[in-house]
Amino acid sequence: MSWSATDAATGGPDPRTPILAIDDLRVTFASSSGPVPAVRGVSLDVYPGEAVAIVGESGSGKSVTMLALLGLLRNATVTGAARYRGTNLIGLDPATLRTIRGAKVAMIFQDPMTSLNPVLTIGRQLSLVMRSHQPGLSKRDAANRAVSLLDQVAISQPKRRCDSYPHELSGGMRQRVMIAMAIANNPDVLIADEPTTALDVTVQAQIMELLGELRIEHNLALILITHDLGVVAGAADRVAVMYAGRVAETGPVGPLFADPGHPYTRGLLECLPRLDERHDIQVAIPGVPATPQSLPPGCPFSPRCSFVEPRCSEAEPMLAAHGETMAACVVRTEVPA
Amino acid sequence: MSAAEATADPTTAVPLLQVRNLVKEFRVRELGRAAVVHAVSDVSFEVQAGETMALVGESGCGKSTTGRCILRLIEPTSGEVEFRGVSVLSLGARELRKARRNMQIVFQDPQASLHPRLTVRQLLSEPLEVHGEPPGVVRSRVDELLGLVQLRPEHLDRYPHEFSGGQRQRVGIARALAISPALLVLDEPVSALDVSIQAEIMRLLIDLRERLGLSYVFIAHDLAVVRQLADRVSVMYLGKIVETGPADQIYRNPQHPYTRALLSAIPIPDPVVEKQRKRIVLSGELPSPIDPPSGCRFRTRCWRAEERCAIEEPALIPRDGSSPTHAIACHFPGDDDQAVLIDPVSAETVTHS
Repeated sequence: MSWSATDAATGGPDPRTPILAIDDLRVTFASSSGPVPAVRGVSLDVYPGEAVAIVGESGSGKSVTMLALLGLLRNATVTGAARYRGTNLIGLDPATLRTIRGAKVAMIFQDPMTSLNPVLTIGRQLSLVMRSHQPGLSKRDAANRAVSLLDQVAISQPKRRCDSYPHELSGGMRQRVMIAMAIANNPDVLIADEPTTALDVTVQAQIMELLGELRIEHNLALILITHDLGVVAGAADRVAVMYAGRVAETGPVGPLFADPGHPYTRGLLECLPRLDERHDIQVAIPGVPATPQSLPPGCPFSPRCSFVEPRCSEAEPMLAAHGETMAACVVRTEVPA
Repeated sequence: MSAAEATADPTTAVPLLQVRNLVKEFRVRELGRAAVVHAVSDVSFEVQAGETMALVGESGCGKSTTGRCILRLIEPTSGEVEFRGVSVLSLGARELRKARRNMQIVFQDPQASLHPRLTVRQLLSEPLEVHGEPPGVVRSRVDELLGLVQLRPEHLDRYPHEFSGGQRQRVGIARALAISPALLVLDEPVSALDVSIQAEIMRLLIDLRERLGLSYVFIAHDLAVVRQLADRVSVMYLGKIVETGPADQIYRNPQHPYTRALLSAIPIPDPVVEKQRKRIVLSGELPSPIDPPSGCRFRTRCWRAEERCAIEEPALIPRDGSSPTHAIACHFPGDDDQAVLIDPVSAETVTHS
């Protein structure tokens, strides 16, 4: 169930090899009120050097998908596959997983303050990240490389900053440090989970510019998890829109914004306030997002959908072609007669 | 005090709210030494009846502190706040409580601002009881409020945690409206909500404004949200208003370098537009409000800064012939930078060069 841009456009397989191939990933949490299916069959191929955005509202499963493939979830049952260069990360023994996570597949999080160790200096944390993955690296070399990493993420006076503690830095600088740590071991894949959500918009512009530059410089595949369609429009090549633990629509960024197939994608774009126009605010998506605990029968979006038909509650729709995107909607993906 | 009484000719009448030379300084200790945080420095603006004035800016610009000073939730250090020509700052405790019938606030996070152990009925009755309404009036007003914010009668006996974020914010708005104020200070009322829910609450705020003739002081960092409901916008940076004017002027013809950088930094959810835009990416960090730069506070990050900017503080000066007033606090205002902004009317890119 691949849905790469080329697939959608030509119907043929992509000639390139994905660097990360997620296949039917499912995550179920145990809770006192029974199992909670947070991710319900997500498939996604990521190719070297490209930027893929995973978009969704709270509870859509976008972060959980990525945490699951990095083995960062507790009390969860994870099934399916996530292959990094052919190695399935799901169920991989912890020692082998550690050689990939943080080294080849790195991740940055929304809140850099809670991701950095408050009692260690920036330089020491950077060194630790490098020396735990590169045992041969001397302390001196690691310290030197820490300075050059801070320089790469455009932190001024990098040598002095190595002696700073996280609380001495601004939010934007802390996120730069997180990015420096993430690229310290030359990863191929960088997963950025809402990297700018906690930051002011002018700082967001700085960080997104930095991520864009690093991506080109290091040929990084960037997986950008976000709720902000504006950020997606500026930074992503391809997009996957998630709703209730599944991919509702996916495709190249241009067609997905210009001619969205899934009513949820359409609604999201319609209700978004835009800086460049004053328009009559419409409540494009009534009701509240479906939660894993309260999934309706059939299409999870059907109770909020203006295109809904009786058959929508019969079976959960699969991704099917809609123009240049793939949408999980039986009403909107039919070939017109 | 009904909404109808508040409606008057704005050109001749006293403004509904007038803030003059507002200053708020916080005394803190930094590294063991006493220091002063200059949170709000000499801020002046007015709000006419029925008008929505947006205070926008990034973290630490003083927008929320300004909002709280208006209601005296924080006591200003100096300056003047007048509501319908009457000084709010000189009121005693009893008079202040009476004055607050006219001014209420809605906070960003209803989860934190609504008491978790009170039902919606209790939450909505409380402000009415505080202001001495008899039980009969309280009961009927609570029902009325529920309808105003489109909640259902069965919601009355539920607790805040039983609601979604959007519904909770409806309760927060209903509570603020309970005693029929003329002015609402809305402090980031939608920024904690998912986008589909944001639209709902914004729609509600716009409808309520029309129905009840309310005036809003709308505090927000999201200029795309502000665009949808502001009549006038004041942009703040490090405790000062750097540019103020009719919303259309601010969005279509921003003149202060900070306003231009701020607008250019906001992404537009359209890949075609995004590819054509050129951003002004600010260098450096926000200076500390404990020791703000001399002269113009934005000069340390400004590409137009010259010697004069460090010496002489720029005053808010109206543009020639602008009416209503569009004023900029900058020695070198203009649109001569290379930023490609977005013309909000045609929604097409225009190059200001």
